[in-house]
Amino acid sequence: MEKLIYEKPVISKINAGMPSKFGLPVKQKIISEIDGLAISDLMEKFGSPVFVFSEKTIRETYSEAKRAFETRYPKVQFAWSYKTNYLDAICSIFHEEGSWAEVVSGFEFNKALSLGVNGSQILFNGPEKSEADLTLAIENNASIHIDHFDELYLLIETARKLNKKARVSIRINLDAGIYPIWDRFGFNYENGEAWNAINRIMLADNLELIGLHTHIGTYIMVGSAYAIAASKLANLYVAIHRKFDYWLKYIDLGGGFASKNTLKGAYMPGTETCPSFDDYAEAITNALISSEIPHENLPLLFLETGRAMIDDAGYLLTTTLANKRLNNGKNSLVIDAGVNLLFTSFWYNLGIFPSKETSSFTEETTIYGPLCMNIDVIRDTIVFPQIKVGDQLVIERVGAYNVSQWMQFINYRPNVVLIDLEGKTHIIRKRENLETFKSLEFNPKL
Amino acid sequence: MGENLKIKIHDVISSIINSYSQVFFSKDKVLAILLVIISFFDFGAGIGGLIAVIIANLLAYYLGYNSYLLKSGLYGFNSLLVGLGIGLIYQPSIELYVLIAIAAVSTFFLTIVFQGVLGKYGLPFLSVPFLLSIWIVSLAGSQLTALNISERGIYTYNELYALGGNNLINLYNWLDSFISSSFLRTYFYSLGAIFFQKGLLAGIIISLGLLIYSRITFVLSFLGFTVAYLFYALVGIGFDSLSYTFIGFNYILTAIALGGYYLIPGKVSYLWIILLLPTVVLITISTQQVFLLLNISPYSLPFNIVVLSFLYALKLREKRPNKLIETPVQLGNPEKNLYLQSGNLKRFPVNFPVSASLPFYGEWKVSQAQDGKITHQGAWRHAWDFIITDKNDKQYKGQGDYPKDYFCFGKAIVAPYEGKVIEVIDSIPDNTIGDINTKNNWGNTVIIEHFSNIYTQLSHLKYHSIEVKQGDYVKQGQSLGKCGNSGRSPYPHLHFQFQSTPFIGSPTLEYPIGNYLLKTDKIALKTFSFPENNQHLVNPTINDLLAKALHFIPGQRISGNIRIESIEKKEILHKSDFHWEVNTDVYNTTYISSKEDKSLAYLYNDGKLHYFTNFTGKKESPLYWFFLALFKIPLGFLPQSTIQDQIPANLLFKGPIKLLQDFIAPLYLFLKVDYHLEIKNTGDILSADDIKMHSVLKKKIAGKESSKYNFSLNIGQEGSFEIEIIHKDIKIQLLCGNAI
Repeated sequence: MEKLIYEKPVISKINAGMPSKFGLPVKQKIISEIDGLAISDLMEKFGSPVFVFSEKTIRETYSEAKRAFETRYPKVQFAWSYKTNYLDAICSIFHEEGSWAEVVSGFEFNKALSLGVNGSQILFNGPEKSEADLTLAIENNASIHIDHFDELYLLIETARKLNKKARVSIRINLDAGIYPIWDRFGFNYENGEAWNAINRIMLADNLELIGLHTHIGTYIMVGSAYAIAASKLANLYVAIHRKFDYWLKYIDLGGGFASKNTLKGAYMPGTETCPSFDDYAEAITNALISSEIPHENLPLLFLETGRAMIDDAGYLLTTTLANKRLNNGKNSLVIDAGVNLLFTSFWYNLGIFPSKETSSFTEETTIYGPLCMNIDVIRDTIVFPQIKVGDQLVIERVGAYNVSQWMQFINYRPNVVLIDLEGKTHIIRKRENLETFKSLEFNPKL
Repeated sequence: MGENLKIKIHDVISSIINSYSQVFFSKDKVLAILLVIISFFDFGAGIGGLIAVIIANLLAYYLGYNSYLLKSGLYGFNSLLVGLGIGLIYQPSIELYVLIAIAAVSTFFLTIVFQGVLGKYGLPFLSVPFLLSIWIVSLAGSQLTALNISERGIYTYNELYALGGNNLINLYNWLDSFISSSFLRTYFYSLGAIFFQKGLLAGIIISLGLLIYSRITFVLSFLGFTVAYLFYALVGIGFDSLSYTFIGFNYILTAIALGGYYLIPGKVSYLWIILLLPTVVLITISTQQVFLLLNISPYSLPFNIVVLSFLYALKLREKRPNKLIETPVQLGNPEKNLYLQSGNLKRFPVNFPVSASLPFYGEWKVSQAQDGKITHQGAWRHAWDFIITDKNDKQYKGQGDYPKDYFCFGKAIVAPYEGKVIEVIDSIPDNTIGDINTKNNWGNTVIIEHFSNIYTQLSHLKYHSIEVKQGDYVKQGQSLGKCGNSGRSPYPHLHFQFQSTPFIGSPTLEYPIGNYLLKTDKIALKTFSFPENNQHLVNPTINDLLAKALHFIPGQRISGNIRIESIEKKEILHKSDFHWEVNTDVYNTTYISSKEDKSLAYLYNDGKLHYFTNFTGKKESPLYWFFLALFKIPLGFLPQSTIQDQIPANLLFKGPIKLLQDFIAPLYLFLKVDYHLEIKNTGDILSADDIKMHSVLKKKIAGKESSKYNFSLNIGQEGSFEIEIIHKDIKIQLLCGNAI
């Protein structure tokens, strides 16, 4: 008989249901492997902590999203939101699947170009575009999404200097019946600011207006908000044709689709409450198809969803550093991955799971990161089984934003590994080392 | 002014010349000249024929009849035959030519009348006008006392001597003794008789002319005659009888008309010639008995009866024929018709007035194709069932216990082609999974009438989802309703079929889908094809830049230059400018014509595909290369996709091997030109970039590759074309764009 695992005795209050004489058993979910590769093997090979991405999941999620839209609407094009995750390997998978690039800075623009993305297949978003950035975009024939009037003036000026036509689209903010209204980006629909911008662009010599763009927010939990946004853009699309006898080429509904993560403060888990791609697609495409736009002039529909595309494909594997009981008697764990690697832990109650079988007895636990900072809390409260020092844990759904918004703090940023379709592993971003930093620093004292 | 006059003179000459060759359904100049010469074997009759032709063509011109038909000689050949026929009966005299002129006028009007009457049924008027006119004159003959019966034919040698001196007489004698076989002699006599000639020489010259004009026509003339000859022998009709020769051409003309001209030549058309000719013989013999009472000859009556009835009978076929196809575009030459058709059978729009697209958005899978195992059987075998599956080939998420779990359930169903909504049923509830409704078999259904006798039926739609009503006119791609699970549908799917009657559950019609993309590892465009089981299909999206660049508008002028160089020697062999113009002809076909060499490239563009349908004129001219380079280009957005087709072999092969192919073409095509287009970069869905394509032409002899042409194409933003062709050591560069 196998030796039973030793667990420290704990006394805890029973606060739910009728227990049996063995207490309140909970079936703890464990994640022992990713795409058939054991967690322990991965960590042995690539260290701890380590980000792991599953190519299979990425491609499956992409094709699910694509199917949801393409089977409902004649012309659909996805653009990969670089800021969500701009690791070369990840971007390349999306481009291979047919995604264009959606970038919000000169850096991202150049990154997309370096990956072989054709300039005309880049959508250039965001409120920050320098003259140099605009020049780069015009030279590469990208579609520039204008955010504000000052940018519009700069663009007119830049295009005139280059004596080249710029392909532009405008970002529009609108009331889609949700809170908060993101009015800091783009031109407002309801107060007529958008029309003002459209008139100026249509009359500008060097600008060719080709699309309308909106991005109503992030982590939108209702499809109907997109339906409102889509029908407002459709109205504008038809109105532009009425006034200028000109059909724009596309409508871009941005991103903001929720992933299956659970927001902090949510009553129900995200897996139960978040709309599926089908729900979003149904709302958006119905709004467009049933709009006034004649079906032969339906615009190309762009989607820039990032989070919902990649979140599920990313895992962070981490090791328990310490097991600690707090003053109030609550259990706590210290793991080797902190908030510097998990930016999304500020918004989500991330799912953290053991990588091997544990006992069925759980208690409320706080999980801390390894940083010497009070804010380094990964989970404030999680019902968790007994974990021993050295046990390996898996944090799921961390594919979006973490590897682009992570901070180097106190320690090196870890390896990022991709498991390809054949189950082979590849380091797609190497763990940093001292040289990484030395190479950027200059010390006048030495 | 001078230019105009030149064109007019040219038109006048071709209308006269073509009237001669039209007797053999041809516009071949060599054949025409030979026929003119033969007609003057009898000088008086030759003059008569010429007068008749000129009169008929002048009438057609001044009364304002169709100039294309006029130039083709179609208004003249009946009068010509009448002129020749009458000219042979009587001695040349003023009175005779007055009579011929009068007969030519009446024949011309009969031609117009029969063109109108028979044209309504899509039938040619053949030599019906000639028949009526010649009978009228023949019946009146005995009363026309001012005219003297011709004495020619009695003093053959005198006439020959007058024509060509001693040499001709020697040739005549030599031929007479050399060709001793009664079979061959009768064949040549019969051929000559078509032009009212009695000698062997005329027949030999005509058969030579036929051989030059068309190998298939030549073979057919022989085949028709042989079959009749054998049948004569079989039933024991006296063959050498004098009455024969003036009748025997019926068999030859019938064989030429039905074996290869009005129908695409092929094994089946040849077989039908063998079956039909005994009938022609019987009709000939019997009409002769009747006409004997009136003292006139039935002339070409049997030929007219059989050809017209057979063609008319073929037209009434309800099923789309794939054998005995009526020539869709008459190129005036059986070989050309055959080569064009052999490659074009699938892509030719004429056979398929309805070019349907898939009735849905995105990628769907064929779960049951035509002749399916489950329900597509018997009268309903030409139908398709479509579903949506995911990457793991599952058609539902979760357990699949509810219709909404199925990917296809609730997805938009759109009109496959424009038309009128004939029938809508929208009130049958969706079944629970596994259940079927056998009472309302077809469930919620839309039926659309696209064309007379071409309907589509879309069934098993979602309860109360249909957005159109009876009588609505829908456009292609317009939303009709949602995919559902009503009727005899155990799980959600779309049932799609063509049918020839407007009722729910009508038997299916075997009819292809106009164009779609077949997704395997690569994407291939299929045109007028039948999707098969388990195939994944998707509708192509149109690329604006391609659609614009390949939309050739009548009146549009294109100019550019060509440069031909030798790769090895690095020397320029040829360099020149060219100018083209886009036009449409009487058949509403668009073509590009070259100013420099008068070449024509016919094209077709249905909004989804551009294809060149034919090329006539100078080979290896700029337009010829343009034609080959842009032979078939989808306007859809399909990066890394391929398209396959075949270019008519006569456009790339020449010399003895092509002649050999001509002879056996109806039985077997061993010369092939494979066209393979690969789209490297279609720009993008917003058409912001140039489009790059690569195509390869492979010439194949009996399946073996003999040579290859590599084409690289670049289509720029302003609709400019850059074409580079590499063939062996030759590099050809062609640049062209819209001329301002």
